[in-house]
Amino acid sequence: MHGLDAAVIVGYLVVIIFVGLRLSKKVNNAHDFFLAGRSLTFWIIGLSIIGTNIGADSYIGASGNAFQIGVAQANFEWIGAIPAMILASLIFIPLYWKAGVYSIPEYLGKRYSPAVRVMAALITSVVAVFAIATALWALALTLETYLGWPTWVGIMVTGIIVGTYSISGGLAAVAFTDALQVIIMFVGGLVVVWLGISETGGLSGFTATLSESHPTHLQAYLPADHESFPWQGVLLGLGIVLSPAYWCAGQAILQRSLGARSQWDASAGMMFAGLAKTFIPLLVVFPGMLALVMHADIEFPDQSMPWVIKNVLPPGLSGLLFIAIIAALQSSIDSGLNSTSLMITRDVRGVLLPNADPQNDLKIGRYLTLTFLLAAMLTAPMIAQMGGIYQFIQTILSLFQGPMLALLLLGAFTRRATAKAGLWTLISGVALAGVLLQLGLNMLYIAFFGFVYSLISLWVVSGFTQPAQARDLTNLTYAPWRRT
Amino acid sequence: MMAFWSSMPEIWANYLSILGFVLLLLLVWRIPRHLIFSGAPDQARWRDIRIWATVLIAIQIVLYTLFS
Repeated sequence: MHGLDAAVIVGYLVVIIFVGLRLSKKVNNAHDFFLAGRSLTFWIIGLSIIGTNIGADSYIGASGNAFQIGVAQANFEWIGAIPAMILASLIFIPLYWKAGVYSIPEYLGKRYSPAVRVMAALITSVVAVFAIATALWALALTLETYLGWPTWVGIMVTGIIVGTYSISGGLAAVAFTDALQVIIMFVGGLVVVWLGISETGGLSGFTATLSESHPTHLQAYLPADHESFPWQGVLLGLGIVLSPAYWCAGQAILQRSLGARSQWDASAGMMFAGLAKTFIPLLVVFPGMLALVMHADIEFPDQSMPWVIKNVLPPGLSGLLFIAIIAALQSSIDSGLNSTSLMITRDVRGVLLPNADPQNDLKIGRYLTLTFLLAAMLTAPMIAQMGGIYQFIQTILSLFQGPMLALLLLGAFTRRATAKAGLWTLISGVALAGVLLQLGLNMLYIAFFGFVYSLISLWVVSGFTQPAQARDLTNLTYAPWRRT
Repeated sequence: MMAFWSSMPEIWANYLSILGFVLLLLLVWRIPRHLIFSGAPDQARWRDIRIWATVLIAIQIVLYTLFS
C-alpha cells in the first residue's frame, strides 16, 4: 500500500473514534443513548440515513450487480426508494412523532397489541443481526482484497472500532460519524466518476462503448423474462412492497428521525436524504459499469468495486475511496447495533418484564450492543456460504416486509384493523412467505404476494374481531382529510 | 391477463414509473400546509418540504425518461 493511502486511512480512523468518544460524554440516560437526546438537525439526519442505507449490499453488491445488469440496478435507489422516502417524510414520520414512540415496533404495539410489538421487534432484530454480520463479512473481504488481511483480522479490527464509538456514544455518535462517512463517500465516489469518465474517452465515449457491447445496460428496466429483475417484479415487489416497508417501517433508518430536535427536522431529514439518494448510483452503480467498459479482469462481479479502486485511482485517492467503502459498511453496522439494542431493551424487555427499572435501560442497551456485535462477528464467516451478499439480504427482507407493511398501512390509514387480526396476519404472512421461498419463487414476487395476502387477511379477520375505540386511535392514525 | 402483463415491453415500466411520480406529486400537494410546518422554527418558503419533494420528483421523471 502507498504511504499516502495508509496516512489517509489512519487519519480517518482516528477522527471517527475521536468524534465517537467525544459525543459519549453527552450520554447520561437511555433517551440520550437511543434518541440522541432528541437533538439531531435535518442535515445530520439526512446524511445519517444515507450512511445507514448504503452498506454491504450497496458498495460491493450493487456495483457487482451493475457490472451484470447496468443502470437497472439504480432502480433500488430511484423507484425503489424515492416514492417511499417522500411518503415516509410527509406521512409516516409525522405519524410516529405524534404517537410519541421510540421505535416502529412500539408504534405497532400501541396500534395493535404488545404481542405484535414483541413479534415485530424480534423479527426485525434477527434480520438486523444477519445484516450486521453481512456488512462485517463484506468489510473483511474488502480488507482482504485491498490490504491482504485475513478475514478474521478484518472482522476483529472492524468490531473493535465500531464497538468503541457505538457502545460509548449511542445514536448521537452513530449519526455524526455516519454524516462524516457519507461526505467522504460522496467525495470519493465523485472522484471515481470523474477519473473513470476521463479514462474511457469522456461521457460520450463511455456511453458509446457501453451501448455497443451491452445495449441493455443503459435501460432502467429489464425484460419480463429476466431471471432476477423482471420489470414487473421490480415495480410490484420492490416499488410497492419492499421499498415502502424499508423506508416507512425500517427501525435502523427511522431511528435517527425519531431523534430529531423537531418534527420538521425529522421530516426534512428524510426528504434531504431523498435528494442525496438520487445521486447514489454515481457512487455504487457507476463503478460496476466502469469495470465493464474497462474490461476488468475479475472472477466475480462483486470484485468490480475493489478492481476500480486498485486500477483507476492514484495513491491517496484510492485510500479515500477505500475509506468510503469502510465508512459505508461501518455506518450500517453501527446503526444496526443501536437500533437492535433499542428494540430488545424497550420493545421486548419492556413488554415481557413490565416492572423492570427503566433506569437500567442505558446499561442494558450498552451490554446488548456489545452482545449483538459479538454475535454478528461470530456469524460473519458463515455469510460466505449463503450466496451473493445482495441477494441474501433482499431474500431475507422479502419474507417479512410484506406482512409488516400491510400492518403498518391498514393500521395507519384505517380504524378497521384490530389487535387479534394484526397478530394472526403477522404470523401467517411470514409463514406463507417462507413457503413461497421454499417453492423457489422470485423474492420480489414473494414480497408482493406476502403483502397482498396480509392486506386481505388483516381486512377480513378484522371484520370478525373487536376493534379498538376510535378515541384510542386519534394519535395513531393519519387522517388529515377525514371528516370528524 | 397474466399473459398480457408478461408480454408488455419494458418501456411500459418507464411509463408506469413516470405516471406514479405524477400521482405522487398530486398527493404531496394535497397535504395541508400546517402539517408541513409543524415544529418548524419559522414558516420560510424554503422550509416547505413539498417544494423539496417536487424537485425530487422532477429529477426522477427526467431519469426515467432518459434511461428508457
